[in-house]
Parts: sequence; structure tokens; C-alpha cells
Amino acid sequence: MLWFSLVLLLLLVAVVGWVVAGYNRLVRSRVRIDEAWAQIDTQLQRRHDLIPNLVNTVKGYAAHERETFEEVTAARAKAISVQAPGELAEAENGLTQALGKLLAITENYPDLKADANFRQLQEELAHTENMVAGSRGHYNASVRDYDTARKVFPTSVIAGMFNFEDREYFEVETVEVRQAPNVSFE
Amino acid sequence: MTTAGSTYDQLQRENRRATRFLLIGSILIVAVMVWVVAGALLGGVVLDPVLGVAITAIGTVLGLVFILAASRSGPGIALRAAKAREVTRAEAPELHNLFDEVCVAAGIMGTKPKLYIVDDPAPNAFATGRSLEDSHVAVTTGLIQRLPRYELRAVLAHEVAHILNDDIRTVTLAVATAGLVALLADVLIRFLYLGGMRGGRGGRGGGGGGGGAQVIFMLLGLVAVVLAPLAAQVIRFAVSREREYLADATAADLLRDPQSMVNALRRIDGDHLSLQEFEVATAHLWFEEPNDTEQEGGASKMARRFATHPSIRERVERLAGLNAGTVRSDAPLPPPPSPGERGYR
Repeated sequence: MLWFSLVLLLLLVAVVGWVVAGYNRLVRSRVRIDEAWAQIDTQLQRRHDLIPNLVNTVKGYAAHERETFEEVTAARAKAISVQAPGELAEAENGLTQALGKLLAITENYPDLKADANFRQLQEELAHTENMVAGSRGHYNASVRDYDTARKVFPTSVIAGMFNFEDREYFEVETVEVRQAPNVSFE
Repeated sequence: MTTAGSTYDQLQRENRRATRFLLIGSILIVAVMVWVVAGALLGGVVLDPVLGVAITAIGTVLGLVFILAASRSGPGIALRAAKAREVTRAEAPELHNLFDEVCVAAGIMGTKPKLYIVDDPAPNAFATGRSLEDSHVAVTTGLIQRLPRYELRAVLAHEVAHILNDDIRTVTLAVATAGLVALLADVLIRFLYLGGMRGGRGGRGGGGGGGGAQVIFMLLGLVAVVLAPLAAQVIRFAVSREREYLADATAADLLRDPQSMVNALRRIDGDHLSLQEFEVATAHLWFEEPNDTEQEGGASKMARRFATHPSIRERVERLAGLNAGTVRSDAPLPPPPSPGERGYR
């Protein structure tokens, strides 16, 4: 009888230990997503801060392209106002498209492309887009890890017990700013 | 060995296997060396199953403690040997921008490695450290001046990949192990020399059986002196070559930009400058093999045989194999940055 209860006790300890380990793994994985999200936020903030500067510089050379400027400004305002990953991704997509249009316009103004200030902005923009893309890639990788842990047996049992909720991926298209610096060297 | 078609997961598995191989191999070499040194010093006692095992085990543990202690100062020594100096954002804004892009994609913005510059026209880079919190990445001025933006970023990503894949710790430990083996071999050499002189004067050893054993251990010691440092080197090289493939693959995956990695490798392959100053002991740390392996003649042939890195052509082929269909390894390279375009030298 003593043996039986001892074995039972050991088994109980093992199960509790296993649950604690799995729970901690899930929590760590979720914390990593939150950190990755904070990083995306920082990078998007940086993107939004850069836009007024960019618009003003382009305005100096192409004042009559008002429609495009308004579009970019509106898209930026919308991107700033939303919060949830899904909506934000959509708003950022809109901003990306508007930015793409703005960059396409700059192709028609050789003086603008020669402007030192604009060139520096271009590097800043390329850097910012890369930072956004990088933080998004890391966020999505973190969500994928968390998702795998939630769905794969045996951690899936623990995830079900403690109600680890679904997390959204962040899907955006990025502007093709990659070629921009090369163009300006010619 | 991997083939050109192996996947990223396979590479990672192989990396882990190589790490185990390295750890077990170094412990074995250290243990054998300790046993032989103890035999040469103490005589037949080490043939006793209990005492011999105990002495060897204690010696090996002491050796491992020594290795751990030595590896603490390893990164600092490597940086000093390369004459690397830390570079600020004000000095090199674009380099820091690129480095940030790599770190944000790797999710290590909170524990960013320190960034260094080495004054050398040969395009090269290295990473060192003991952990993510104590990690360092250095690039040469030649690399900064010759590589276009995205290729420079790919090289930085390769170095960060070495940090993420825990290669820096492994390599630091391997170097410390090689150092300990060299030290033990040195002790043996001195002892064999002294012992030989004493033996010649009358052979008053520890008594019958011990004396005979001592002779055997002297012979074993001779063999060990020759073979052990070589074995330590072989382990180091076998491991560091495989790690280069994985670091290339990790870097390409991190930035979703295998093409720039391939271009950077091809551009550096086309460059025949060798590093002006480097320590042989730190050769495996660099992005490209720092020894001159490209010339005809004996010295380069030897350097190829003992190279710490696989050939760049092989690295390009494997990377292109991993990213089949998305990477071109025959297209003309984009133009290099114009001189003085990056505001630092």
C-alpha cells in the first residue's frame, strides 16, 4: 500500500512538473510575441514620422501633384488611428500603396532626385521599410512558434486547459524602395 | 556531409550533431592527454583501474574548468588581436542602420551585439563572444567600402547568424580546448626532455614495475605530443566548416534575401586581397578564409588543406541549392559603391 501511494505521488509530481514546464513555455512564447509587436509598433511609428518630411520635400519640386499628397496624408492618418493587428495591416497596406505612388511621381522630377535632402530621405525611407519588414518577419515567426506550441500534442492539452488564445499574423505588402538608392547613383 | 540540396532543418540538425561531436571529442582528447601526462609523471599508478580512473577524471575536470575560465577572456583577446575598435552611430550611420535591420529581423534589438571596425582593405568580417549578451561583430573597412548596401547587410546577417546559432560560444570553447591540449603537450615535452636526461644517468626510477610503465608512458607521450594538437585542430576545422554553410543559410532566411548573400560571396571571391594582420588562432572566426588559399604553390596548397572555411564557390552552390529557383549565381553583380560614398573609412 505504501509502495502504491509512493508511486502515485511520484506520478503526480511528474505530471505537475510537466504541466508547469509546458505552461511556462507557452507563456514565454506569448511574451515574445508581445515584445515583437512592440517592436513593430516602434518601427511603424518611425515610418509615420518620416512621411510628413517626405511629402514636404517632394512638394517643393512637384507642388501640383496635390491629389497624391492628400492620399498619402489620409492613409497615414488612418494608419495612426487603428490598433488591432488585422486592421492595422490593412491600413499600412493602404499607406504602402500611396507611398508607392508618391515614389513613382518622384521619377518624373530629375531635380528632386538630385536633391541631397531627398537622397538622405530615400535612405531613411529604405531603412525604415526594411526595419518594418524585419520586425514584421520576426513577429510572424514568433506567432508561428506560439501557434505550433498551441497546436502540437502534448502542449496543445495545456494550451486548452489554460485557454491560450489565438494570435493574429501581420500581413503587409512593402514598397519596393530597395531599388531606389541604386537609381540615384547613376 | 550535406549535399547541395539539403534543407535548412537538416543543416541545423547537422550543426547540433557537430557541436556534440566537438564537445565529446574535446573531452576525450583532454582525458587521454591527462592520462598520459599523469602516467609520465606518476608512473604505473595510472594503470590501476580505480586510482587511474580517479586521477584521470579529476585531471579532466580540472582541465574543463581551465577551458571554461580561459574562454571567458577569449572574445576580448580575439578583438584585440584583430585590432578592432568599437564604432559609434555618428561615425558610421549607414553601417548602424544595416546592423539594426539585421537585429530587428533576428528579434535581438534588446541585446544588440557591439559593432566594431577593423582597419584593413581586405573585405572580411567576424563575430565573437560567449553569449548573446556578450557578443561582438567586427567588419573591415574594405568590406564597408567595396560592398553595396544589401550585400553588406547580408554579411552582417551572416555574423549575427553565427551568434544566433551559438557558434561563437562553441568556437570560443574549441579554441580554449586547443590551447589546453597545446599546454599539456608542452608539459609532456619538457618532462620527456628532463626524464630522458635523468634516465641516462642511472635510471633510479620509482622501482621495478613503475619504471617500466614510465618508459611506456614516455613512448606514449611522444606519440601524444605529435598527435594531440593535430587532433584538436582537426576537430576545430571539421566543425567550423559546417557552421559556415548554416550561417549563410540562416542569414539568407533572416532577411528573405538569399540573392544579396550570393552576390556578396561572389564579390568577395573575386577579390584577392588577404588580411594584413590576423592571428592563425582566430582564422575560423572570419567571414572568408583569411589565409591565402588562392595562389599556386606549396604554401597555398597547405593553406587550402588546413582551411577553416569551405571554398566560396561551394558556399554559393549550397546556398543556391537551398533557394532553388529564386537565386541566380551567374548574373552580373550590381555596381560597387562609388569611392567615398560612405562617409567613413
